[in-house]
Amino acid sequence: MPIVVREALQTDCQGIMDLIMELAVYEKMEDQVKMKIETLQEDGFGNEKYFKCFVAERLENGASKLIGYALYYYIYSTWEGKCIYMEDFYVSPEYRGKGVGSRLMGSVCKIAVEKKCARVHFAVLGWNKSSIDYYKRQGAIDLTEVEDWHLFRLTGSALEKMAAKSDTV
Amino acid sequence: MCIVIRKAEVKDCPGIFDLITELAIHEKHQDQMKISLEKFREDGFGDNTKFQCFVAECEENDTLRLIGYVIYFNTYSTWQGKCIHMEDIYVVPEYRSKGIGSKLIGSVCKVADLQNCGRVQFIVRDSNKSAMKFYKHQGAIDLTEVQEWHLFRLTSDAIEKVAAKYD
Repeated sequence: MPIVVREALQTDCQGIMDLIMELAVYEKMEDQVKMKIETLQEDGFGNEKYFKCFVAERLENGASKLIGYALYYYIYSTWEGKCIYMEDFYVSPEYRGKGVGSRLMGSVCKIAVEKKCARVHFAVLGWNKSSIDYYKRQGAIDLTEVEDWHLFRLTGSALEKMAAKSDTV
Repeated sequence: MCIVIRKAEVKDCPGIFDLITELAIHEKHQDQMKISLEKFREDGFGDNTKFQCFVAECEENDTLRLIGYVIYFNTYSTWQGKCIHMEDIYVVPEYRSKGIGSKLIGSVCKVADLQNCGRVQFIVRDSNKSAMKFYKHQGAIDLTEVQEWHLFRLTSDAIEKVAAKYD
């Protein structure tokens, strides 16, 4: 059963949407998914591209199915320059333990090396011990644990209230 | 004394770079600063910009001085779409408690509004109690405290090892 890891195409968007929902269910936050396939297509493959994506595709008896993905974009550090943020990284449970995750993450890191990005960042839920163990085995540092960094978010009415304080000329 | 918040221009680069260095020293991480002024200028104001910036400029006794800045860029949520990440926000100590920080963050939030970005995210050190209190007072959610999100990093050596697994 061959599994191919390749760059995503626009035609992969439905398969990626299915995996986005699977990941959200796994993270117990499926009610937060507001993404629509048209938006994903436009934002990933339109005139302005907001993300890039690798997919893992299983090929069997002439049929193909997406069984994993790694979605990332470029970010910026004022200390180190261009970096990468891996927003989503997921392999369907029945395909784990076969090295697919390492190949997906490896693809993102290869881009980081090619584009001279000093860092690859991503976020993991604290209760997700198996993922944390996996990432630490790859040499990743838990900056929340080691350097006390907390992730904050402004959204909804709090975002609007802050926007109202702007008096930019 | 007149303070103006405006979009950064290429001529502001040396002033912003000085403030970035001040912030790195304040966070005791000045040894981690690897970027040069030239690279910073190219990344912010060259052909393919990698970040956006607002500055706070003070006019006093006919002299203009940059006394604060905020750097941000677009990110993407597969749940909500386009978002913004605020990478740096800094006001020099003697100009704090005048609402400048709020106006700088407000400028970023206004951009988020205009671009239909549902989230503005940023990171804060738990030991920075005054900043944590300030942001929570503005209605920001500590996702690490509330949802247990941890920020992870791969740096050069680890990136190369993982890259070697790519086929």
